[in-house]
Amino acid sequence: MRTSKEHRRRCLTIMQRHIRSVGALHRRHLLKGATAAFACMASRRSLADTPFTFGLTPVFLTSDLVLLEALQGYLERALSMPVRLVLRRTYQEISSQLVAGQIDAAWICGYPFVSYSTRLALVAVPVWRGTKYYQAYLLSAAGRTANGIDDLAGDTHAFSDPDSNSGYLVTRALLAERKRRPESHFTRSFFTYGHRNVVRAVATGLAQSGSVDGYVWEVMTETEPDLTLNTQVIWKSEWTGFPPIATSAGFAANARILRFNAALRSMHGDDLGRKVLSLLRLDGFDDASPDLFKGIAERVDLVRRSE
Amino acid sequence: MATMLDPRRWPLAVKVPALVALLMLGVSVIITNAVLSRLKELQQRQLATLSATYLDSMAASLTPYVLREDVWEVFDAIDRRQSLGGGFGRANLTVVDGRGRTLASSNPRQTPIGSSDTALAEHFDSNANVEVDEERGRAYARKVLTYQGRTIGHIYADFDVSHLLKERTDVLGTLIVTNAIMALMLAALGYWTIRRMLSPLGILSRHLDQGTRGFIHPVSASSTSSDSEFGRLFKRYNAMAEALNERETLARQLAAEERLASLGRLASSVAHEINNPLGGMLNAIDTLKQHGERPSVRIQSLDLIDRGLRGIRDVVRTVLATYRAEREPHNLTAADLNDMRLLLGPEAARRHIRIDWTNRVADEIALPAVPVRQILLNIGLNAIAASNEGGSVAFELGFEERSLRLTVSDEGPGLPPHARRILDEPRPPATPFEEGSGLGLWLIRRMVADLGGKIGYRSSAQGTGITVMLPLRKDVEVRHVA
Repeated sequence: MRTSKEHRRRCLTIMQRHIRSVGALHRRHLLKGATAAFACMASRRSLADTPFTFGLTPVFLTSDLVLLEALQGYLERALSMPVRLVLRRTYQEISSQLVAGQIDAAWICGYPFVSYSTRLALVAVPVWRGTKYYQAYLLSAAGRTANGIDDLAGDTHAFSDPDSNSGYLVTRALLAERKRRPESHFTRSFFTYGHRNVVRAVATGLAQSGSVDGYVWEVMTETEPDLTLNTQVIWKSEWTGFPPIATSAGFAANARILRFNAALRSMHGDDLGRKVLSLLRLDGFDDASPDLFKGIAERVDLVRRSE
Repeated sequence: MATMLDPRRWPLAVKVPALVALLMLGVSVIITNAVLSRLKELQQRQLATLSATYLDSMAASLTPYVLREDVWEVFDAIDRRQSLGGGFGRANLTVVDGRGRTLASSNPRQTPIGSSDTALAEHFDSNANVEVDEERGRAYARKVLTYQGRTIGHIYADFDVSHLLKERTDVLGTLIVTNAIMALMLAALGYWTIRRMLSPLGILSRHLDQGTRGFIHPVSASSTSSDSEFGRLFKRYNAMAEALNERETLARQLAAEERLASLGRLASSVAHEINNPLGGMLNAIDTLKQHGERPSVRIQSLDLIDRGLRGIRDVVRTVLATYRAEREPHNLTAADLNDMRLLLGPEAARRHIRIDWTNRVADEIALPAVPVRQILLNIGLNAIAASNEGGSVAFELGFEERSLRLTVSDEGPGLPPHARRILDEPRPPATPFEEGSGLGLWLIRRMVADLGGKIGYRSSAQGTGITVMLPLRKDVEVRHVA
């Protein structure tokens, strides 16, 4: 964290010093300074001793410190370099850092991957219950009779994140099919920036319904049954590509990324790696084609057209 | 029962401790009120500080979320900080926006998003920020959220304060128990002290009780030696007792003299009784001396002398019996009563008064003979004295329940007022009321009282009836007149 900040500050200082030395705003000098600064930033990636930065979104259970420790430990050993896990509150923060090349890779949602498809490349996709697919769920409080989105009209609805497929896009698309928008269908909706928070919101009654990642809900039935028992799944989407691990398109062929890909794929062959996988309730990681997220891309189109 | 309930009739040894306990009760009510109100004040101050600290810290973290109207973050913040600790348990928290609409509540099912805060604001008086609902055992606190001088919302919290209220009940209980024990101890101490202080009065009271049964016994010297109020009181009491005893001795002498006087009257009438036949007998002896050779005269004279002597023998025997009875106390017999008729006979005969004698007493009865004879004799003499010449006096002697009943009725002009006064007094007077008036009746009254009996009368211008009731003694001691 500190090294990254220091490095950026150093680059900015180079630029500022250059501008000041010119005294007046001269285009050629300015360009020169900017080039120097950007070169400085780019040079950082090539340094082998700089930590590998891996962004994590609340797509899975980022609150679990044991998991984070195990994940970092496994990756550091597999990559033979320091690894820094970058946690942010929203998908947006991670997505933009990833697109900007500020982090090496990130576990993001299929929705931002589709949105930035030209600027991102797939590293690996998790394998859950034998496939690379998962579903989006609509939740309501346990015991309520509701069979679909139509029964949720007038609710207070909890979304996960505006950049989440299961936690927003799926429901948004369902409503778009009905020529409706969340603001008109629900009395009130809010974002919790975490799938687990959606389950909490529905379980405590803060929201009457919620859009949640099916994988997260299923894992929580094992880890936090007290919460999930107060909720029920009233609708499940079709199977779509599991939230992938992506990198900036420019880094795709980078040796760091190739090593990262190998580390992920061989995770199930390592004790610590198996611990990570068991905590995540995943089978492993595998290569995949961007076609996996075709369903999400269609939804994005549907929503875009309805606006 | 009613007298037990009337505090004015309680003994001093109860009254004073009761008063002490009552005073203690008053004091404890005041102290209890003071302690409880102070405790309440302290608790309220503690509550105010606690809720202010709690809500201030929460307000700092909530303000940005409230500004953004970020429902989830508000909920997450209050959900994580519900616990107050220190026995207050978990608070119910609700955050509302500037328009009083709920942003999030820690209990969303009860207070859903968007609901109005009027129900929450109801718990507060206009300006108060902490209120306690003692019935529900909950405290309600609130805090205004301000940002750049503008009100952007409120935090409402309510939490359990039943342990504070319980503390108050506990203190109240302790105070009640402590004060009750203290009141009881003081009352007991008061009872003991008063009993101790009043013990001389008990001595006095016992002596006075004895006094009503005869001689008054002076209080022992050890009690009078002290110079306290009671020491002086005892000295005066002893002086009074001495005076009363002197008077009592005097009264007894008087009674004895009166008895002798009545015996004197009796003796004169007995002498008269003897004198009457004596004249006839002397005449008969003269006749015998002159005409003794004539058998008819001799027989007639001897017969006269014989009757005269028999009469004299009877009189003498009765007087002797009376005299002997004085010496040897014995139980009353029918003969004792009949003797009285004989004794009264001469006096009645002298005044030409008829005696109607009805005696239903046949056996020996459990009463001392001497006083009963005295009583009957005196009443009889009085009745004869009160009767006009040629009148009659009726004696009726019998039983009523477990008492001997003596009734003497005459046809005289009725009892004089001083005699009525003697009989009307609830207790027999220690001395005769007036000089030389009705000493006999006074004596009767005393003797009846000594035997534990009662005396009643009915009196009119046509005559007087006096009834004496003498209860029979339990210990029947049988003794015969020799």
